[in-house]
Amino acid sequence: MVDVAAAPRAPVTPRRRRDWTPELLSLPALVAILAVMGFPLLYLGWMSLHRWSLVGFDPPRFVGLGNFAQLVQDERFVEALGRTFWFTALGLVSNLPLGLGIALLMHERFPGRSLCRALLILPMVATPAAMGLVWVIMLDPTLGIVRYLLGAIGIDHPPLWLSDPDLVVPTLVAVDAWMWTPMVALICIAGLAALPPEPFEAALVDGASALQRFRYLTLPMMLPTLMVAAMLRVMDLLKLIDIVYVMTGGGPGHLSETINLYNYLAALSYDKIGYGSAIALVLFAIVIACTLVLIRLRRPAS
Amino acid sequence: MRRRLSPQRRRRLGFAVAGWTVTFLLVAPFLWMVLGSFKTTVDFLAFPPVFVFAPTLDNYRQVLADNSFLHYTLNSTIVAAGATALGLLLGIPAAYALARWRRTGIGVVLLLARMAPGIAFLIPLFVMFLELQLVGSYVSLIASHLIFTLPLTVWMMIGFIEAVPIEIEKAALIDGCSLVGVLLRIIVPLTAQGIAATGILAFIASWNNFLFALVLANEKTKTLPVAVLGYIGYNSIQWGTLMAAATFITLPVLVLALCVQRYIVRGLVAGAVTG
Amino acid sequence: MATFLTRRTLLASAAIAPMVGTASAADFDWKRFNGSQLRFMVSVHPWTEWAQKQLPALEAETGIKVNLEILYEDQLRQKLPLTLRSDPGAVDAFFTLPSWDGASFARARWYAPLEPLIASDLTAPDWDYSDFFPNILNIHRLNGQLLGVPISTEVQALFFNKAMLDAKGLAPPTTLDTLMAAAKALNDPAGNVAGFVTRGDGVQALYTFAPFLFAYGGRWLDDNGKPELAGAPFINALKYYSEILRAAGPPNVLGMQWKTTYPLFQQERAALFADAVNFLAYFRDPSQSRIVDKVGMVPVPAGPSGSHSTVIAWGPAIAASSKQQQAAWTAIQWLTSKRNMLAASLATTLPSSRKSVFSADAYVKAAPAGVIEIVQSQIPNAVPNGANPLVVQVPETRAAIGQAIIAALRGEDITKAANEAQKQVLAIING
Repeated sequence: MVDVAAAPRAPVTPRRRRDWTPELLSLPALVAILAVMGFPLLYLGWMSLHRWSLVGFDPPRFVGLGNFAQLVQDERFVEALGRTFWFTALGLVSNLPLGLGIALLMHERFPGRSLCRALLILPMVATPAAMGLVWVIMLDPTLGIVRYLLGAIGIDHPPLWLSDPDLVVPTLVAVDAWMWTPMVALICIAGLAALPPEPFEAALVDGASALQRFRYLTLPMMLPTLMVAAMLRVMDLLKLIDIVYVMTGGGPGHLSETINLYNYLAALSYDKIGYGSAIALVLFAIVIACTLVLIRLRRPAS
Repeated sequence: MRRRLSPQRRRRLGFAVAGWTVTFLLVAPFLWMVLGSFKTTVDFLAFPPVFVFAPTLDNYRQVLADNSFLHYTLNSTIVAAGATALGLLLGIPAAYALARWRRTGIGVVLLLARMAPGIAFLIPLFVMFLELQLVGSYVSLIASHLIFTLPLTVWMMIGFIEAVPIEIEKAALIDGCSLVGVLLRIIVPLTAQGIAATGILAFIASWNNFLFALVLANEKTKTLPVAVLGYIGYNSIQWGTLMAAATFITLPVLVLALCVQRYIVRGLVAGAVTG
Repeated sequence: MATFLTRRTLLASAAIAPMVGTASAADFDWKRFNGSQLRFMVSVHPWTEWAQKQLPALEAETGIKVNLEILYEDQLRQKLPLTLRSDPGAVDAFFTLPSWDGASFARARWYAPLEPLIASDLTAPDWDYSDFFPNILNIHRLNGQLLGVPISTEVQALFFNKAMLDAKGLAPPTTLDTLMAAAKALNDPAGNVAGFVTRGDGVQALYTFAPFLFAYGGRWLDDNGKPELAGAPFINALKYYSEILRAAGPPNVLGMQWKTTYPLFQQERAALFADAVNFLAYFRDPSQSRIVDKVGMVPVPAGPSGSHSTVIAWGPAIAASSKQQQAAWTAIQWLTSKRNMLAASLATTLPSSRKSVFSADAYVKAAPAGVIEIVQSQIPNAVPNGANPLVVQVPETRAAIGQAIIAALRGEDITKAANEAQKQVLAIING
């Protein structure tokens, strides 16, 4: 029989011997993850040390860190890297404030609020491949409905969106924001609902304005929640590929190519499996590093 | 004399307008897609855009007449249900462990799975399942989908489990209940809504995923997102049919998601903040 | 190393006498491989969609059950090499496009040569090898060996909107100069109509850019297989392509893929359109197109070196690792027999690779108006597999050359871009 805890969280007493219960409970999950991910990761690491082409029966050729050395000098890789960070930064700067804004809006009581909240899910649920194509048509400067709407408010020469070298990345960020800002908003809605009401009531009594309440109460208290949203978004933005592949293919030229897309093209299109694997590993390392940074940042704030 | 709205009602009206506008903007592209599914291709691509037109059901007829499409729906359902069920089965105990004991090591491994670029796994997974002679089977698809359903399940269930007061479990344990009993008879019933929300998010993620099905599925096990891409022809895109297929794919998960929207919100934040 | 198909080798090999089957017509046993189960991996194409509907008849007449896996094109390009490499024997036949896969698959020895099968008693005598256009057969010939059966003839054309041209009193342009003039005259940005539209996406544009390269007397590779991208023809073609699109193309032509170019023409938002002849069927479909009665075609424009379209052809090929090559050949020759190719052409409206089908009354009546003339007039001067350089590393090379096209479309220094492309393609080929 298990002793009941003195420890605040665990229902099981911490004995002298380490309590393996949590590990046992999570063992099936860990085994499953390691089974499905472990071999691929090892294989990936092994492949990244070789040069290998799928077409033909030549065996893989060991090149040590040659692929990684080549990466550093590969202009296309370096540009894709910078561009991916740019994507991520733009994404964060747009998703987080917008998400919080929508959440603040949805925090207020108004008729139909729960329906609105429920509909927020829609962009997340739609199939990315099909929605990407719909967006391409909507944004088309000749045929698209966006041109029509802009024309209705007097803008006769619409931006070229995906065709404009300066706008292609922001346009893709906007489509991605359309899809995932609702998730940030939903996270923030719950975060707002969990805030204690007393400080706000006190502030109202003290005569603080809405802006002041936001700046000195809401924002600081929502920081942990925003950090969580930021973490989720950073992980996905660094790995962005779906909508880029469907909407521009990385183009025009390579002007919207992300690291993950280059990884995909190198391995599966240019038949350079080893090189693609090296890119994938670098990307993985970057995602881990950025996530760790964000986790560190979160600790002091909470 | 006209009654003037009180400042409070005016405020509420203002928020309603803003709220509905934002919602409309978010939903509009999807509405355009659904509208397009009732148009012929020539109307879908027309400029100025066509809002008033003679709707046609031909696109849906074409999508459904293609027997394979219903077959692909079945495949998607099997894979998504399998990946979700397995995710819940394996993930809930792990989430319980992380919620009640704070061993971060386990959490880190699961988080790593969320961080990995899935595309990089295509070839290794193919090779791996080839060796196991599982390519083209539901097993390989379900197993590969676990890469994202399992972390998602654990992530969200942590929050729901923490919401359960620990006293109940302690009391049960004193009464001689085993840990498995605690899980089955206390945690699961008390987090039922959370499980539903988690399950649906996992189901959606698996339903929409086309990456692994590209190489791991064959004609028998092909899933819907891959099938939708088939409407991109050799040198034409049947836009109307594509829109119908895309709407068809989205509706089931949309309905599911709307049912449990409230609990999705709770789980997303709770699991995240403490995770 | 594969012998690349240049026009020189094409003319030389046209003299090869076709081999004829030796069995007697009456008693060819179609059910010789009764009970075989085959797996064919193909991509989305009107012909494969037609083929899928023939599978029951195929099984009834030959007893062979074919599992036809239809993938979308990119997916085929990932899954096929992966399967052929890791799981030899899993795939018996596949759909191939020699201009893309040819060199790399041939080097990997993944094709089973077809001529021994054709010459043996495994081929029905009325399959008639000589009925195929020799030039089209040569598209699937590498190192002198026939590696696939071409099932259609895909050339390019210049499409025009008759009404728009008539309104300005213009004749359909047939030379580079008249095309440039017509495009500029028809360009109407204020009216949201472009003069000329074609692919502006670097990688995809090679296909529509090729006829312009050939019009200036250029070619992708020299006789030693090295790129010829730094020379005058390529640079002149780049200058022309970018000038016409910048002056008369839609504002968003930079990066435009075929999926958004042809809708502009279909919706009467462009007066002239250049791409594959296959699009005609869709332009004449009232559920898709506004120009059903207004669309016309002329051959690709002629430059200083004449008018030269590309001609490419997809077709089934047998995997060298298949353990059922003979059964696969039976199925393939059934699908490509005279009778079935006629049925295919009628169903898909695609111009056939068989002479008898091409000129059959039924097809002549069913084909969209103008298709037969446009194909026949361009075949003699068309460049087989001319859509891109015939190297082993096609996708990577296309990306490198595509960068030059993008640079030209952005108004950058064309000579510099061409030299850069030359350098990169050399590195890819040598590396």
